[in-house]
Amino acid sequence: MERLIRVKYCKNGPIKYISHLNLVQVFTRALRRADIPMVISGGFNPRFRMSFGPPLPLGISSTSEYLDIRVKKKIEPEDLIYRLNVVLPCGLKVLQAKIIPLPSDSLVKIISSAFYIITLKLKKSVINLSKEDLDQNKENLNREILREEKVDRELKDLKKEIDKNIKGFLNQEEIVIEKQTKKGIKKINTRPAIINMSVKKCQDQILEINLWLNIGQEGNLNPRYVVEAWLSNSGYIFDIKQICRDGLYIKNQEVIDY
Amino acid sequence: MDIKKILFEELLDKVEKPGRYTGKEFNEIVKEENKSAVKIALAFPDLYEIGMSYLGFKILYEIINRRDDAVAERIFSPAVDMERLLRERQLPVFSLETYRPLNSFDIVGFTIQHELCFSNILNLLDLGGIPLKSEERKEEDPLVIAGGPGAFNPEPLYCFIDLFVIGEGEEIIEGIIEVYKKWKEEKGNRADLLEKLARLDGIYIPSHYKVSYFEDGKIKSIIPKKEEFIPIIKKRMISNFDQASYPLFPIVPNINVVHDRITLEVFRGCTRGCRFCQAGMIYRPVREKSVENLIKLADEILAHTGYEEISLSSLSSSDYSEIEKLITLLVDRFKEKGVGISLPSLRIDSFSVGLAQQVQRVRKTGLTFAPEVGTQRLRDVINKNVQEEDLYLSIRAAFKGGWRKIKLYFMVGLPTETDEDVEEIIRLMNKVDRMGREIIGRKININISVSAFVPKSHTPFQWDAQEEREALSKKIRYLKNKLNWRNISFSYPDINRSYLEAVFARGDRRLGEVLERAYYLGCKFDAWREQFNFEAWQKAFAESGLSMEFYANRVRKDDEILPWDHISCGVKKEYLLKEKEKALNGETTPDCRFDSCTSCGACERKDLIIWND
Repeated sequence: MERLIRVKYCKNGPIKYISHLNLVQVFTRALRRADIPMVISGGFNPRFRMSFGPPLPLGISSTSEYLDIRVKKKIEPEDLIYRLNVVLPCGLKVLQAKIIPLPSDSLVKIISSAFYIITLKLKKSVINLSKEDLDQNKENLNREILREEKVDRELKDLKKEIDKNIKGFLNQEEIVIEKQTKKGIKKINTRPAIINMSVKKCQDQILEINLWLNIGQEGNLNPRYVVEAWLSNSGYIFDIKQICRDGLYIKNQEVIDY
Repeated sequence: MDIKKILFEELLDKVEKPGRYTGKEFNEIVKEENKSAVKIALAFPDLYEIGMSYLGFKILYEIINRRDDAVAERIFSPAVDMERLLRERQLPVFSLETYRPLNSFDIVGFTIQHELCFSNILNLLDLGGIPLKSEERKEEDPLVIAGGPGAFNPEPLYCFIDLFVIGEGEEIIEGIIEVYKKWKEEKGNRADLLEKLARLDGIYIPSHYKVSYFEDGKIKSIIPKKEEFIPIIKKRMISNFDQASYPLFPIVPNINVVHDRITLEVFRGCTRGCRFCQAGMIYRPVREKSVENLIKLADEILAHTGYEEISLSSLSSSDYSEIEKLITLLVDRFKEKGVGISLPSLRIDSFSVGLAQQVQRVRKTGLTFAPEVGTQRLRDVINKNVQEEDLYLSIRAAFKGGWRKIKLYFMVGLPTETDEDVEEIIRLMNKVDRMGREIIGRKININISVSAFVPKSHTPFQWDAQEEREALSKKIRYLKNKLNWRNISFSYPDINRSYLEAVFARGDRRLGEVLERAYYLGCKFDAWREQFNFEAWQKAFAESGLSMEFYANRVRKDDEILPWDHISCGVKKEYLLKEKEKALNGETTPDCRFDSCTSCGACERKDLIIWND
């Protein structure tokens, strides 16, 4: 009796630096080590029947990733969680598993949005600079050599300001980014993909931003592009320290609860 | 300085393939800090993807880490982008296990897989904060050792490496640890350590030997500096290969590496006796693992790694004495789990194709054959004991068996080669192509890889000259133009690289200086086409006043002292000379497994278990 099991896992630490393609292999091998009775596809290249949710870009960690696997024998979700966690490499951990009635649409097809938390660290602020300063320093700004003494305001005070700034950013008709592809530079309007963006926290030179993006036919937008677009638009100089995917949704509901 | 913190917070986002530098793969061994343990860095002078495919380090990693009193960690050459970041921030190259700098290890062990990694060894030492030269190293610097096939002519590296391991590392590493530990407790100095280690069999300490030269650059003598240093260092070898330690918990990389599968070493050594092949000489004699043992190993390693493929590895795996039984057992055993078996090197005979068919019942990835040359005459000269008819039978069997893609290896520049021999490669290819069309009914894809012959030490051709670069280039160009068919993809070497390889393969100590100069001129990753800088090498030779021709293009007399004459792989010089003579007469030498003993000398040891009953 074939079963479909939906697995929720997290990906963080060193392993966030492997690509989606490599991740598929890492899971395949872990499933074999755990001796999970996987259904194997026929054909020239036998593979385990499994399918992943939308790929996570290299360098981004996640608290909620998904994977559907087909097993040929009954296996309890708790048992699966235990067996997999023993053999997964550092940074990958199964959090939940549940049996999904067959037939079921693939994760990629049903997942409609993703929630990200972006952690930024203040490098320099240009808030206090006059317009002339800005013009004069434009060159220098780019080289990130603005003098420290210009930074004399606590980031805390900036929360409202940044919030306002983001609202302005989102009010644009188009937010065009330039993406380097193999064929050259491609211009993409990212605005339709952004559901919402807001300040989560602003403390001790650390700024956390919530970003909620559509995932769908138009593709899976890398949140880094949106944040970089906002940074260059706003003039704030922050380093992106970390990006974490903190939820994948099917119609406003976290995948595992759907 | 917290390397780990800087690596994860600042560097990884800026480099290509950051997964090369993170470590933390499944089965990685991270031991707790233990001051008294002997810390060994297994340093691979190339990228992670190459180094993680190397069986030797997998074996040593497990042997060393199994001990409570020793630690082994991995270090690879950083790619150019990462190296730049490290140098900008003045960070040392570090291990993947504990992010420890290279110079904080007790012992740094390099493997020398080929001559074109020499500059990378220097680069790793420099990036690791270790003085390049042995004589400049202080008491607190690590002991720098090296092994692998390249150690059979170690001389060009003599001033950079404190000690060479000649032969099979798994046999000797524990002895080194024991001596090191004792020496550390006794608080001796560096010279003491080297003298103590010199007493172990299979250890070559270049500073214990003096080499003098004639005015024409040939070697006059190689003499031990003290009476207690042995004049000839014999390779160490596993006597009971079946029971030798084999890695049961190999690290499973998170990113793709070159050989991303279980490597099951079915035997070591090869006695086919191809006269150009160094591996065929230095790994003798043939020693097999038993079928029972191999099945057991496969079971365990598979459970510990979860790989989808098991590769039966050796220099010529279809020569394994019970290969059919082994394959049948393995295929049946792992079919249900979706695990395939692969044979990386196939001999040219229909038996081998039959085996390939059995293991690749599903995956038809392509078959590789190495006819090496175009004529039977030359094939006899190199002792490739294969008839042209065998090749056609094998290829026919492959096409009939469903393969649509084949790969063929050829070599140009072999001793006695004439234009006709090269011309005949084209005739052979025409025939293969026609056969494909007849059997399949359309054009088949053929991959041809042509390489330039590089004479290597410890082979019957060690006295020979490499053909002049111009002549080699001409031959390759000729083949490339003639085989410019749409269904053929043709790959060929950079002749300058083959030339440099030939220079260093039979180099002497004087090349140490050249190497150092080339390194300072920016040479590294010489094995990588895009990084290789031949002009810099030429400059280094010119500045040192040495000629590359002297090493690459000169025929040596039989009685000339060769730079590696004090290093013995067991195969005797008389045997090599005899083989050289036979080669020139076009006489072949059969494989001693199926014919009489050839008295090469490799088995002349009482404790050796060669055959499995």
